[in-house]
Amino acid sequence: MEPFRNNPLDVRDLPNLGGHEFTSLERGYLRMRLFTGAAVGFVALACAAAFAYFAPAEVPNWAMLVAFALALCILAVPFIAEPIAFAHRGWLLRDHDISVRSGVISRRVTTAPFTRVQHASVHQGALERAMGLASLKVFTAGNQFADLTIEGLTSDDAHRLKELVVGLTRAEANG
Amino acid sequence: MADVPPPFPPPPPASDIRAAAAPSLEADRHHLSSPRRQSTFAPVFIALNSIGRIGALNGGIAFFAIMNRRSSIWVQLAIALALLALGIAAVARWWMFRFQVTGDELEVEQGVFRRDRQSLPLSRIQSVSTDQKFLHRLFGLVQLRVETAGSAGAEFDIEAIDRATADSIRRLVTAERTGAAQAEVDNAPTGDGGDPAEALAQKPGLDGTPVLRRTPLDLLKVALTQNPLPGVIIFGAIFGNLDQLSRFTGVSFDEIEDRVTDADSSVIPIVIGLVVMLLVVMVIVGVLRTMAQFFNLTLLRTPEGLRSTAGLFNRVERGSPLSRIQMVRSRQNLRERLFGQCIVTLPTASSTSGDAHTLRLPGTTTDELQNLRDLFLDRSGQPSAMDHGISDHAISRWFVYLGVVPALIVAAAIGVRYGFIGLAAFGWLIPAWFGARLVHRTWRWGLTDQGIEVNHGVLTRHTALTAFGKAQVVQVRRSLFHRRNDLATIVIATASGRVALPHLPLDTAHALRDRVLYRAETDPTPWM
Repeated sequence: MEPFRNNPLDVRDLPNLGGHEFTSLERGYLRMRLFTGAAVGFVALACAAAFAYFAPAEVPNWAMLVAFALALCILAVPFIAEPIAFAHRGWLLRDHDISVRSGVISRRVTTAPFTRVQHASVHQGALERAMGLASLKVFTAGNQFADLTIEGLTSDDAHRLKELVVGLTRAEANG
Repeated sequence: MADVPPPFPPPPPASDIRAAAAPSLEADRHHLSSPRRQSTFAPVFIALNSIGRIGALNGGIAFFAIMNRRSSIWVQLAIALALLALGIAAVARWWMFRFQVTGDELEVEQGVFRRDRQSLPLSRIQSVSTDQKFLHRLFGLVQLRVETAGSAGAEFDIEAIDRATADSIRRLVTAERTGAAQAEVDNAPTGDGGDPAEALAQKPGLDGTPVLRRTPLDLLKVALTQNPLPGVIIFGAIFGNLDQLSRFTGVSFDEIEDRVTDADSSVIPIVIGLVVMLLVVMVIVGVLRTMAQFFNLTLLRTPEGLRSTAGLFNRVERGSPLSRIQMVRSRQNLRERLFGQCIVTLPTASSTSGDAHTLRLPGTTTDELQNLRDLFLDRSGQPSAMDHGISDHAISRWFVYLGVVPALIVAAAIGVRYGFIGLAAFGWLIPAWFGARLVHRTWRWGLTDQGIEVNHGVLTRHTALTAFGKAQVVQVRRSLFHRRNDLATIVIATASGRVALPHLPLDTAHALRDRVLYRAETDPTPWM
């Protein structure tokens, strides 16, 4: 048995997450997000148009203008927010943990050590399947808050990453 | 069917069990070696459970349909048949439910039409807890709940068995978990009573060593601090608000009286008297309910970990291995500070969701809290130095949220109607500024080599202590405000509950994250 040691640690010598580059997501993911955002925007525009067409005569003109302005805003927001969010989104795999960056206004970096990972799974929605994308979910023992999701991976990458995560988790479990 | 032993003899009274010498594991094994049924009264509990599942409302409808003379004979017959079927099903389920311990496994066989056989290795069972509802106590029975590790959902309940059998199962599971040889040594009685700190540090006996015990007087304090209404009265008496209250109510009742002069004016004193009586009754009921809920609250240190029992009518028992406790939280409101108490909660990792497995200990003193923390972090009497605060930027942040924004809204609302009087709303800014400073000052945190402690709260004080090794996920969040001022909020999520530290300087948050991750990744002790 190895003798027990308890050497002092210098905080500056600890491995530092900030010093690494995160891997960005696939460009296709940005296209997908813009596509869904635009679809919602056009639905809003269609609603505004229907409102303008079917509205009774008493409804003043400015109300219709407000409706169209709102619909245009809904259409425009994803085209501003999604590229910003996309530039920030990313993931980082290290020897002992996996980190995910997300968020537009409030930005989050979430890290789960492999010693705590319970299992991992790959998800593919209909749109994701059409664009050859997939997302990886990494589950820990915490509540939903404590699950990591990496969206916007290529399907191959997602499966490869899942195997890697599961392998590393198993390696940690076996010491 | 022939090899089934006759139903259990009636259980001995609880005092007899305690008085008897601690039975050895061999006797427990022998006791459980042949297939056993639940108590003969179990069908009652099974039937009640089924009725509970149908719902009290539907049950009531059925009852009235039967009692109603006008409903047709066929409806009455159908309902009577359904009740009969319920009873038969309950008896059948009781008859077909058998359990035994063979070797190192607990075997449970159940199901009337589809037989279901479960074998649980004793070592895999995480906790055995017993609940005693009021009805159980009348028959001297307990409900046994077995929980296993992992989310496989291998939990099951034994509806009603006698306490001796439940204790046998528990002892066998405990012995299996701690190593049988070790357990036999520990079976020697440990020093009873004495210093709770000593009791925590000692190797506990198989049946557990009491760590905390609440007397009825303690519970009265708990009840007075927990329910909102006694608070009104206590603080009313302290600050003389009762006087003002009666004057205030007097004024308002005068107005009412003016309006109802035509009516009989003797109604008013009766109404006031009724309201006062109602308040008094509500206070008494609230106090009695809390006292009954936590009656005789006892925390035991057992070989498997900690176990608490409490309750006058429904005896509830919560147990957890020490390693499953994820953090030690405490909460202390103003009244509790008067009595020098706080509520301690110990959230535990559990495969079933909800806080059914959280240990709640109201009326805990500072010393007892320190003992629990030492037990959790496995250190002796060294409190964490709470020598860190949060960034000063937090003050301006809270000042804007609690002071400027509400003042602007109120000023605008009043100003639209009454003009410049609205500016008076900005007087709120002064207390808001000092309030923000006060809140900022109460956020303190400190590190030990194993964990982190976070305290905050002005009126109600919160403390949370968790070990780095319990961290499941670490998150660093930065809002726009944080990015402008080089700040961050760090959240450490454990398997049950999380610890958040807001508005830290960015480099501190990153250093803290790196340390938590380092400890979680290198610490070989399991997190549950």
